[in-house]
Amino acid sequence: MKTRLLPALAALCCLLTLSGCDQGLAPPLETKISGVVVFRGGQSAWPAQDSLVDLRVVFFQDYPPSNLIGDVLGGKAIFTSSLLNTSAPGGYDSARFEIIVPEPVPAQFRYVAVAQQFGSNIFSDWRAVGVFAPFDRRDTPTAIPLSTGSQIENIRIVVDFNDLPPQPF
Amino acid sequence: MLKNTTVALFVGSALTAGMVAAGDLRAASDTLRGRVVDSESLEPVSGVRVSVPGTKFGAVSNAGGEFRIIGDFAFPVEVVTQRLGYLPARQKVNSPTTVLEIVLKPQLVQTDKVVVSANKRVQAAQDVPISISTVEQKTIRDRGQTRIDEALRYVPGVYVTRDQVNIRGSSGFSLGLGARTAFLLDGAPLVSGDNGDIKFDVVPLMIVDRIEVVKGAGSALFGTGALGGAVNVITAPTPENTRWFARLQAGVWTLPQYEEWRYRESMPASLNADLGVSGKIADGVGGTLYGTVRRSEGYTDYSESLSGSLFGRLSVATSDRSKLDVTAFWSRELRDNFVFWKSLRFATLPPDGTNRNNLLGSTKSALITQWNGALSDDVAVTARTSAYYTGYAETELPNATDSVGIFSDAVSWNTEVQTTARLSRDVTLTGGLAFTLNHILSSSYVSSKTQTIASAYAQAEWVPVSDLTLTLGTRLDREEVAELSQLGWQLSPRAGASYALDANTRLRGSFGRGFRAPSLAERFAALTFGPFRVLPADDLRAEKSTSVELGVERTVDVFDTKWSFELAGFLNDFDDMIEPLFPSAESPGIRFQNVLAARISGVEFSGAIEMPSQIAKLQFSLMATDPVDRSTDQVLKYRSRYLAYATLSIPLPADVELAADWRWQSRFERIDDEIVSFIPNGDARADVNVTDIRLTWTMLQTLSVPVRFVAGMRNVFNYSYTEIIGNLAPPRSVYLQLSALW
Repeated sequence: MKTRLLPALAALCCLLTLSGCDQGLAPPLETKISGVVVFRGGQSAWPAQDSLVDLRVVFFQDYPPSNLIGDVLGGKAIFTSSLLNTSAPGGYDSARFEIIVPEPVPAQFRYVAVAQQFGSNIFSDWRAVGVFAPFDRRDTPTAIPLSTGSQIENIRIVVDFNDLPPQPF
Repeated sequence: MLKNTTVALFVGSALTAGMVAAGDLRAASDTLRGRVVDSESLEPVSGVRVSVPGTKFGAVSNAGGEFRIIGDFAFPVEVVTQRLGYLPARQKVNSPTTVLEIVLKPQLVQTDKVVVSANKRVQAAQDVPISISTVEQKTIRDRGQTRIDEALRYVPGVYVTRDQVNIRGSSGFSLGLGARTAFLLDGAPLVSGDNGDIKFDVVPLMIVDRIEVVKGAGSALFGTGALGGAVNVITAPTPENTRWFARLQAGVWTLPQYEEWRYRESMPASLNADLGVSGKIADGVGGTLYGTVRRSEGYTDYSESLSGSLFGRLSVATSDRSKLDVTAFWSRELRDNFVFWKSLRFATLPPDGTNRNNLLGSTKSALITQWNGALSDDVAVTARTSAYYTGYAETELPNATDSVGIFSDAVSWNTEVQTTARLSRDVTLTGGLAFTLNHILSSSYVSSKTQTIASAYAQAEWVPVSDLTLTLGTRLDREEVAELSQLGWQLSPRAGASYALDANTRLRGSFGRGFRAPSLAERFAALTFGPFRVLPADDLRAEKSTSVELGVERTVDVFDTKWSFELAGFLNDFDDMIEPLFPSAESPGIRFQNVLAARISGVEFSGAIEMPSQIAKLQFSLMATDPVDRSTDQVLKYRSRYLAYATLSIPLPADVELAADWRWQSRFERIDDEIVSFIPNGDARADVNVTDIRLTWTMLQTLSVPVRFVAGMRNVFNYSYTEIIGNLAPPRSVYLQLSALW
């Protein structure tokens, strides 16, 4: 019986092995954007601490954005954790950031800016202090195209607290 | 051997039903009694010739598998059996008091199949001019299948896309509206009156004797819907003796292989329970009652379901040559409404914001009355009328009985009278009249809608010379829709020829035409499907198709191995195909339109290889097609170019069988680009590459209990793929099944 079964079992094993090589669809990687914010003028150019309540990189799907809070609440914008470093309250030359884009991943972020909360009103006291715009052409913001699983790295945004870009809201 | 009590019961019946050999009864003093059963299904086998070699005594088993041979014997004697489709058996009998239990093993390659769907009458499969595949009850049971669409997944040239049966590429994906395959239960159409779609859960599979799949345009026989072919579900006849059937199947889907797809800690489970009884109620009266319950937690979040169904049949012999069958079924399902995934990354979750209190309840029921009678030796009549109700309503938890205002109630009435007359030894004529009325009341329509289709058909089969059968026929259908002024006339001719070149080779060729009248939903529905709004389209025309096929079948013996092959080349032309057009700048919603002219040409090759001494059996099929959208010269959407199936069965000792099924289907090259922008990662798709394995143990001979045990695993390698946009197909699952027939 063993001899007779051998070819059949061998065929079965081949069939199973061949069909098990590929796993088909798989969840794509997390969509990630990372980069660095460079502060022009170094520490000395930073504003007074009482006007620096929060500082984040914000990614907007629409341009111009309606307003920061409205777009965030409406799912049209996402933001990084705070760039403020409590161990260096007086300022620093640069800060790295990374954000995971939640599903569903939009086709692009049309406007990416560093937003500063300068007052106590979280709904209104915001301004753009830096814009993602290669070659420092801050009046023409550049979109970041995306697809699910994209790993966008080396986004560089320059912030000059003494020379703000055009304000979108 | 069965237990003594069971045997005694069978013997009692055998005394009244066995066929007596043409021997000298007065001189006879010994009686051999017994029963013949199938070794795998445990079903009685009728028509088995049981004889005692060297004597003139013998008998043929009756419908209950029982036989009785009266004669003079010098014990011990040996009895032998003969029946097409089974291996011969020999059994020694020591005394006349012995009650025989003969267990027949099926031949692995069967050549004696009969079909009824080719020409609307019973005939040998080898005599029909068209391509027909059958799925037998044993295969369905072994695979642990509970729905008809599951049973169709290994039919050569056929693949299933959710609720669409795709015969040789005829169907795409149409949002659940309009089937391009006719679907029948014992010849009675069973397509919903509103969407014109097929509900696969209405017929409990355990009452099915076989499923016949007719390939190619077949409206000459089946009318509207048979654009790409027809699926005819044939139920098992009522046995002479009371038979009980019970089945319990439990299974789990294993946890997803990717962390992102794990939405729960434990493996989701499913449970199916079936119980049925069938048999003689009184003289000339038989009955069947069958019930099923299914509970599933689903393999994605928000896809639980609970369903139950009842099936009953009363068969009354109205005379020696006529019979009335009254069949009724009812089926109810309540399920979560998972429409598509959140994204491929979170493919087992519905989109954020999905209302999880929303449930979809559906009810299906039917009453089918059929009378079959022979008016003379050469004329037979079948008269049938049926009413098929389908309804659904969206409900809201916690009070799941309250409709939230979205509902549909539809009835499809079908009446048909058919006569088959043998005009001479060589000519058989079949003709009939049919009438269909579809009526719908739904929240998706301004008012109730009605559609009627009246039909007349006739066809002749002629055997001009030995081994050659010619078929010629046509059907005329007239469709009318209330509120629409135009009438739709459809003429569907067919012709075919079958020629036996020699004892092992048969050639066939056929031509046929098919059409599908648009469903009421396609014409009038104003509804929402997921994120889409469907707009009415009352100017739709019927879809049409023309099929041409040439085929050859051959059986050969090579080194003691039996090979049987079937090769078919086909060409199907489609006109006025109805496709959903998605939102654009010009149109704000989905609208069904006659937009496509298409051509699908291809080759289908299938076969079976039976190794010597029953070592193993391999069945396989391959199909290659070229599905072209003739209006754009692009490949048709939602069609696979290549399809391959294989099944390997290996009998092991002690009536255990190991089997593996493998199916591969090439990736859809095109889908709707527009829909992708609405569903995250909607374009994610892959080849289908699925392997199932199972171990079947039939305990009748080894433990003397009429029980079968099946342990199986589907999608063994946990291959991930989609059948429709934004929906993962079932991942790996494990199931255990116990069934008993007594």
